[in-house]
Amino acid sequence: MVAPVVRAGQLYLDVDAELDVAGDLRDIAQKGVPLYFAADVDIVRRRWWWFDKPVLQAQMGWRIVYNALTRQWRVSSGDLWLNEASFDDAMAHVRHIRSWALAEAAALEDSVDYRGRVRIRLDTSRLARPFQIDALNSSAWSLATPWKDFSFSISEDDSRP
Amino acid sequence: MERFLFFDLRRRLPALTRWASRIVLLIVAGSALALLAMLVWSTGNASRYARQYDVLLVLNGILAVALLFWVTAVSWRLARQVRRRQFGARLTARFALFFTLIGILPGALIYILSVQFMSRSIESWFNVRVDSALEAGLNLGRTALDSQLADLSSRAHEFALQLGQASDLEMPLLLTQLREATAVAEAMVFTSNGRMIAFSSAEFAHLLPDPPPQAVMNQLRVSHAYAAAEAEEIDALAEDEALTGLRLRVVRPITPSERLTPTLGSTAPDTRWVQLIEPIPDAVARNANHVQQGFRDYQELALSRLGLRKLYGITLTLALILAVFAAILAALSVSRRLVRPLLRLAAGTQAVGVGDYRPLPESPDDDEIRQLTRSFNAMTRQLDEARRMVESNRRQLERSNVYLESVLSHLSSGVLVFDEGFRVNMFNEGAQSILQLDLRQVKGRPLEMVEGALPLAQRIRDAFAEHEAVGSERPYWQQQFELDIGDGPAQGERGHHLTLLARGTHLQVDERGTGYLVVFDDISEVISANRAVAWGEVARRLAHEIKNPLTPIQLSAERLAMKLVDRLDEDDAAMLLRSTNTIVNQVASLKSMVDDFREYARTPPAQMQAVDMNALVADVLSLYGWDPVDGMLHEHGREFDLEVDLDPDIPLIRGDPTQLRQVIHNLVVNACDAAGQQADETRAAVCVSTRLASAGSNGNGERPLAVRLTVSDNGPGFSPQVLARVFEPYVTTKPAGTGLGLAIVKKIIEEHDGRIDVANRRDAGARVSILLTRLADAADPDPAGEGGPETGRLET
Repeated sequence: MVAPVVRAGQLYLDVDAELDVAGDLRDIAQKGVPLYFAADVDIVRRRWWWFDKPVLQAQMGWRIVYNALTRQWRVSSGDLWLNEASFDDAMAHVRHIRSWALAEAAALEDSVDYRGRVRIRLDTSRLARPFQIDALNSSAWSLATPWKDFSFSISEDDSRP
Repeated sequence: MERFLFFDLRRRLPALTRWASRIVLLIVAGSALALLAMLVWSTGNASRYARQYDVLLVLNGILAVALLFWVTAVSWRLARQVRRRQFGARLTARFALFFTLIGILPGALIYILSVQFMSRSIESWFNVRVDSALEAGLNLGRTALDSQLADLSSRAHEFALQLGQASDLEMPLLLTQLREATAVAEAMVFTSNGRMIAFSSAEFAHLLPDPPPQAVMNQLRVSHAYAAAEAEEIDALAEDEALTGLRLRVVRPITPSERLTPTLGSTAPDTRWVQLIEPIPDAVARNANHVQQGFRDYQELALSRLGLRKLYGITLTLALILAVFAAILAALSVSRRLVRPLLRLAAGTQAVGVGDYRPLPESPDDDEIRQLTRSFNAMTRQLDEARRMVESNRRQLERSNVYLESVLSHLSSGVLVFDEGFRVNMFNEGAQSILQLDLRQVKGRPLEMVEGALPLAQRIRDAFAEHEAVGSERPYWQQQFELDIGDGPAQGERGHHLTLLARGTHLQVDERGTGYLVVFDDISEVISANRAVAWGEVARRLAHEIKNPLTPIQLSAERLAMKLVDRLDEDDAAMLLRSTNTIVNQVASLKSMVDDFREYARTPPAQMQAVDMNALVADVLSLYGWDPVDGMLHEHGREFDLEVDLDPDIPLIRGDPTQLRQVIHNLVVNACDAAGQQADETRAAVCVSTRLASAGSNGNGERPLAVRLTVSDNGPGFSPQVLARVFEPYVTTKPAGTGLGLAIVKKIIEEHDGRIDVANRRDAGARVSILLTRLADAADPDPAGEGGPETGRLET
């Protein structure tokens, strides 16, 4: 479920996704190997006479790592980090994105129908290289939600901060 | 100058292209090598190309595919050449195969060993002992933390009990006392909704409390207690968790005592919580973290060993493929280079085979191939020279053959060459004309095959057999053959009598017989001339011997008659006179005959002077009634027509007018007699003509002039038998002739250095031509055609 909202002149995105990490990947995480997740957003403006015009591309990343000593999970995104007691608690941060600030509403045109899509995936490019080789030919590592489409437009009121 | 440069460039263009392609090839090979090196380097972990591993992998893959295409193309071309049996292709293919094997086999061996070695060694990194040791280390750390946590928990329990008896207002003081008493680093009391009631810290710098995070609060709501070791953030950016500190956080509820329970039960007070935070000493924390870090790394590696093996395997395989393809290409190119000079030599050999003797270009390298090329060139040069020599020899031989043939064909003598089996190998024109046989069809066959040549062939065989039998020291035999060639019943009148002088020899080359050579001459004329000379001698002697007694006989007869005629009676006297008259007459007749003989035998020496032949002819012909002025015959009663055709332009000749007059006379008389024998109705005709002719050759190429006199008739002509001996004395066709006329003519003409030719005309009749070649000089006296005594009567 994707819900773009404009609050106080800022475009936010709330995403709730089904991303089930199970089996080998969970075991690997349990062994202390850091997992990287990423959420990708593309927002385009439809043009019937040409290719769609890209308006915005954003990415957010998470790192989930298990501390075997303290038996705690740590979720970090950018400078922020949190300790969680379980893997699912840690994954909840990835699955449920709240108030992802995408852009200033003023930067977008009013009353234009924007199309966007979002997905959350396991970011294999930041894994250790042997895992990358594994990831190239193993389905266990290709974990991603399908692209989820959404559309929105900004009214004149919203654009005012 | 520009033209020169242009041509220079054109000449150098191939070399430049070759250099450019070499440089490009070098660059490409260098880049490929660098690519491979970077791939191998990036396979090692600590490389800054590690990030580009995927890109490098793809690039190397593209390189491998390009090489594969190249190899395929080159191999296909080579295979097609082998199929077409192009020269050298098989050798190239064989070389390439061996070189490729030499290149590939060690590479493949090393590859297999490397892969095995790598997988074994990677597997050997991970074993149970290391695993369990790390696990145990981690557990040790956990146990240490747990024990401290248990200690802190019990203290927190103590705190909770103590604090439970204090009111909210007393709590900060009590908390501080308790904290100081138990040496806890930080203590805090807060309500369930997170409001802080009391806070105490050992570190003055740490004035701000560290409230429990949301996760802890959530857990408190469920389990009413929290005790955990937490990683402490020293540096927010620190990814290296070994640097983060550890601390213990314990939260416990404070159970309030009975006395403090508000009497007003309507509002239950918030649960109070006490939180104790105790940092783990840095050394312990660092070590524990190291253990944890090591454990994680080990797990990571253990989990990724499949990936590692794949990684190294892919790199090695790619390296092997590149090396193999490069080896194949190198093998192909090297074998091509090796074979190319051989191909050039082979092409040169074929060129020599079809007669192209141009030298091959020598290779610039100073090696055996160059020596080979040089020797080959020397060989072709010698071959060429030998061929030229053979050619010139052959041409010379042909020339000499042609020369020999022309000599042979112009030889008047007949030449016949037989092989060992007496088959005709060679003959010349002379043989054909002498024998009057067509020998062309008999070449390669025995001479007997020719019609009419049987006696000659038999005689030749006999002559050789006799020569062999005699065992003579002389290398040749000589015989005179009397032959009647072609004198067969079918031949009729065509046969003729020949006298041949033949010489034969057995041809020998290196003591081995190669054939027989017969050379023969027609000596009929020589025999005839000899006979004429002999006759002259006989005639002269006979004349002398007979003439001497004639006069005494005549005188004696006359005296007998004179003395006895008076003494005899009339009848006897008459008989005596008749007899003596007969004797005298016969003696006179005999005398005249003897004179004729003497005339033949002893012609007086010629008195040479300038003579006008036309005048002489006219003079003689006037005796036959021909008028030299109007050219007409005046006596119409004659039995023949006289045609006279005199060339007015003929020069004067040197000669004896008397003798020449006799010649003309004899010929005309003969012609008239012959024409008179004409049997049919055709009127007899005699033709006399003089012509200017050229004869022979003097040294300076001019053909000297000569005068030709021709007398022809339309009579029956000469028979072949007569024709052969026509100039011999006493050979005549006339009933009353002595046969001396033509003999005398020939004798006179020979004295004048002239030629005489007697032949039958093609249509009918005979024709006698006389060629007088001695022309009178300008200094000679006037022509004496009219003058000159008539020497006797001539009878033919």
